[in-house]
Amino acid sequence: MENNQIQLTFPENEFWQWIEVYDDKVIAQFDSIRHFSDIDQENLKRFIMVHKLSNTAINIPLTDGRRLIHFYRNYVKYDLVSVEDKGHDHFRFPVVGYQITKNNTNFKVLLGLMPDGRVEVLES
Amino acid sequence: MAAATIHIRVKYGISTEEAGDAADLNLLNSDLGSGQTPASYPITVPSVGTNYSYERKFRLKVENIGDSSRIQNLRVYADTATPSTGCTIKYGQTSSYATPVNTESLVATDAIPTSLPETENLYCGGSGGGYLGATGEYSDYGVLQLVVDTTATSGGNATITVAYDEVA
Repeated sequence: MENNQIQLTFPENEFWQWIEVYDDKVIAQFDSIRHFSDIDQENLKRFIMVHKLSNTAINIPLTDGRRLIHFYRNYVKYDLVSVEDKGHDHFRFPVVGYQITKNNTNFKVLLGLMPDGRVEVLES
Repeated sequence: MAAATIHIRVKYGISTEEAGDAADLNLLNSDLGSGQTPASYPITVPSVGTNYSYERKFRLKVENIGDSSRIQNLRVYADTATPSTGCTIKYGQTSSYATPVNTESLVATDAIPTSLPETENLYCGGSGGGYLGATGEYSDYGVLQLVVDTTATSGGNATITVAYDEVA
C-alpha cells in the first residue's frame, strides 16, 4: 500500500476489511468501528479491501467521479421439504464497488468478496 | 464489527408471531408456525381443481442492529418455482397482516423468482427504497403459497433464499 505500513486487526469471523487512503492519513475499518457514513468520500483517494489470510487486495481509486459502494450481502436459505426439517443456512460477505454516471446513465460495478479470498462479479 | 442480527419471523393465525428465528418456511395444510413435521401436514393432490397450502407469512426483524447502520434491498427468490410437476410456489408481499388462507392467495399471486431479483421484492415501510435502521424494526410481510393441481407429483424440494444488504 504505497509506502505506508499499517498493522491490521481482524475481528472474529471477518475475513476482509477496508482501508481508507487520504492525502494525509490512512484509516483501517477495524482500528475503531468505522461506519460507511464515516468515510469522507470528498477527500478519499483510494479504497482498498484487504483479505485476512491471502495477499489479495482490491484497490479502487476514487477518480473520474466514482462513488464508492460497500455493504455486506446476506443470504439466508431455507429448504422447503416435504418430509423432514433441514433448518436454514446463513452466508454473509462484503461487497465493494463503485457507481459512475455517464450520459445521465448510472453504471455500477459490484464485487463480492468471499471468505476464502475469491472475488466474484455481482450483477446486482 | 458486530454484524446485525436479523431474524426471519413467521406469523400465523389471527396474529401469532414466533418469538425467535423461523425454523423453516415450509408450506403446510394447516395454519401453524414453523418447526412442524411437513409429512404430517401434506397438501393433497386434487382430483379436480386446485389445492392450496396455507399462506406462509414472514417478515424480517432487526433483533440487534449491531454496528450496522441500515438493512436494505430485501429480495426473496427460490431455486425453482416448480418443485415438482403440477406444483407451483407463489410469492407476494404486503405491508399489512391478515390471517393466512388456504384458498387462492390475493397476495402471493406470482410465481416466485428463480434467481436474485434485480430490485427489492420485500419492502420496508410499504414501498421500495426503504430500510431498517434500528433494533426492533420490521420489514413488510413476504407471503408464500404452494399451488397444487391435478397433475401434481409428490416429493419435490425447493430452497427459498432471503437476501438483504447490511450497510456498516
